[in-house]
Amino acid sequence: MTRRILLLLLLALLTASCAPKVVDVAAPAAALEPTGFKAPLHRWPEADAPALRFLDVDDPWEPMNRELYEVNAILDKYVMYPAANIYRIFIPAPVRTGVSNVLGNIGEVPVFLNSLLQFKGKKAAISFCRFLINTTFGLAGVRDLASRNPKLARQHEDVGQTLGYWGLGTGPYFVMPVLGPSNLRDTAGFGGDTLIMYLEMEYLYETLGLQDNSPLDMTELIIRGLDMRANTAFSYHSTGSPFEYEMVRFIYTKKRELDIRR
Amino acid sequence: MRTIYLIILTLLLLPAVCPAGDQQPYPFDDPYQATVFGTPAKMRYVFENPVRPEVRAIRIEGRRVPEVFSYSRDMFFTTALQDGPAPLIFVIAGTGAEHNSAKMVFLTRLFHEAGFHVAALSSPTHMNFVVSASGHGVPGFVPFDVADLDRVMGWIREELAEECAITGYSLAGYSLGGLHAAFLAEMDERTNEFGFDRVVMINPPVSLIRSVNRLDSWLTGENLNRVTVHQQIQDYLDQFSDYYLNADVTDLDDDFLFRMITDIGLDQRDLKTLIGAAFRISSASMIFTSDVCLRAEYLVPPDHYPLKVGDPLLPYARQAFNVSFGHYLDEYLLPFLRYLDPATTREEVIRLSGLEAIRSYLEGADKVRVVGSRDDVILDESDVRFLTEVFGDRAQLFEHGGHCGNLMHPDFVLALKGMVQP
Repeated sequence: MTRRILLLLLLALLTASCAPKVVDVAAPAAALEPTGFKAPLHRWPEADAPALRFLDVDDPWEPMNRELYEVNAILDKYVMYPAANIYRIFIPAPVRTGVSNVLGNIGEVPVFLNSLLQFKGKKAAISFCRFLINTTFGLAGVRDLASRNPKLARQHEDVGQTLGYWGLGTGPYFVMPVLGPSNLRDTAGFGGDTLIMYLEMEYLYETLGLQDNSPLDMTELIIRGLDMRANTAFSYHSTGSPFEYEMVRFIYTKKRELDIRR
Repeated sequence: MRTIYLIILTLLLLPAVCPAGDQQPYPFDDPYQATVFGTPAKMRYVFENPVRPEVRAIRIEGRRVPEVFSYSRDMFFTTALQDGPAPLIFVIAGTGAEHNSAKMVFLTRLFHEAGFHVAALSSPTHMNFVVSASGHGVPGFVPFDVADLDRVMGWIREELAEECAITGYSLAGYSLGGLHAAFLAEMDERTNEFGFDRVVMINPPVSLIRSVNRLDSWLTGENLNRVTVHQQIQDYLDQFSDYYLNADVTDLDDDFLFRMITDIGLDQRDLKTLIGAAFRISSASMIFTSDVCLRAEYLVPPDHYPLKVGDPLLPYARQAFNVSFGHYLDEYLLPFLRYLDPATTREEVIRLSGLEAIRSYLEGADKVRVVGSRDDVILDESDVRFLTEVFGDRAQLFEHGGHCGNLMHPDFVLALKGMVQP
């Protein structure tokens, strides 16, 4: 019971202290009442206009995706962003870096496996070395000593990329709930990476002699979420463009395409 | 033995002393490079205690906001307040820029370090301002934009006065925001609403229309050698993609982008195209936003309304990207102004959007200052002459820096701080 109250208090604190403070003002002159003005000339969309074709992305679920994008934006505004902010304010930077490093170190395993599956020997070797160095000399991954060597920079490979490497197409664009831009293939890939990570964590907990229980899983999930949000620079509707959805969709798709070709 | 101690001591002290003595001059002599590259991260002015700006919002009761823009319902701005009594400075962003864009956060920290309470505002041409605060919903006409800013600044003053002691008011703005600042100063002279102590224009245009026409001209066939702007952008995209494919990089951070754009070897024509395209992207956003707010049927046909959250907008983006500011002026802004007042002329609209309209005020206004550069790409020779003639000693123009390129360089910061101190 006390825990629930504490949780509620924390939530109230989150929303009250970090969402922007809104002040209401009365201004009848700025109510933007319709004036009846119509532009004398039109520039209405033409079917199959040749302009900016490269922006096209296969997005048959667009109406649903757009709704999801908005839901994500609202969730982010009221939950994730404020929570990450509190995390940034109350947890000292060295601790946050440590947490990030540990999670990154755990993440070397899926990177290593995916690199192998794509026959990228050099990448696999790098993540293997990183894992060895950071787990042993880096105090179970708290310190990212490997990155001090420019030749051992952190790699990124995931199941989505592996599937792409083996010739699987992207499938339709898809906005994942909470997590954002993706496509059918990468969503499946995300499932695969999660599974690898899950098995790894189970093994880890078992080795450490920790009982497998839900509070532990929950804590892990929250820490992962906080770490991810705190280290993501993007914030919704900050581009100042009504075409943000289109921009994000294009950049995500293009970047994934290039990452798979690399 | 003592000599060795001395040498060790000097060596130990050296790194601490170096940053001050080691300051490098602004690196880009080419104004187009300066405008695109800005100030390299390693050469930027470093704040001792960078303030963490706070985002706030104002909501106009009963305002009509289209459903597709409901996320932009409130007008956002940022503040950075001092602990004790201090003067308040309003900072106005440039075309299409938000209150917390990189340049704005930098200016917020700068003025906070200089001892001001700071309130940073988005440009009236930014989507959020158009949706949430604009009186007419039609941005780009300076007298309207200035009236909107004035109204919003009044609200902010009221809100902040409850939280901190304000000992005076000042004003600053960069690019189009600088032009707005000058007009606000002139208006304030008549209304005496704020009684500004200092008004600083940072890289302002002298004539809004002349400057945007320059930017627009860089996307025409003349500059592009008969390639369409769409083909040209596609070509850059391919170049950037190739670079990324072959680069040894794991993070797409600022460093990488900077290296990419310098490594690719863009010539002056390319840089002009990129500056023009960046401007075009923000003006396309502005025009579409206004059209939807007014249901003016310029880009969106009447039977497409009401636009819903799930509706694809790419077809409108394609159309909006092809609208130059000149088109916007003749096909939208001017007809709107004539709808309100049939006597409005094109010449009058252009005149009211330039500093020439308030020349006599500016000549005698000791409080209004200019910091910019002689090679600013949005200015032509007559514009630079105007600034030096009208402002004399009150204008500090750097030889190089392009349009806001050297804004984060220590020399520029020093000049800015000097201009804003009473």
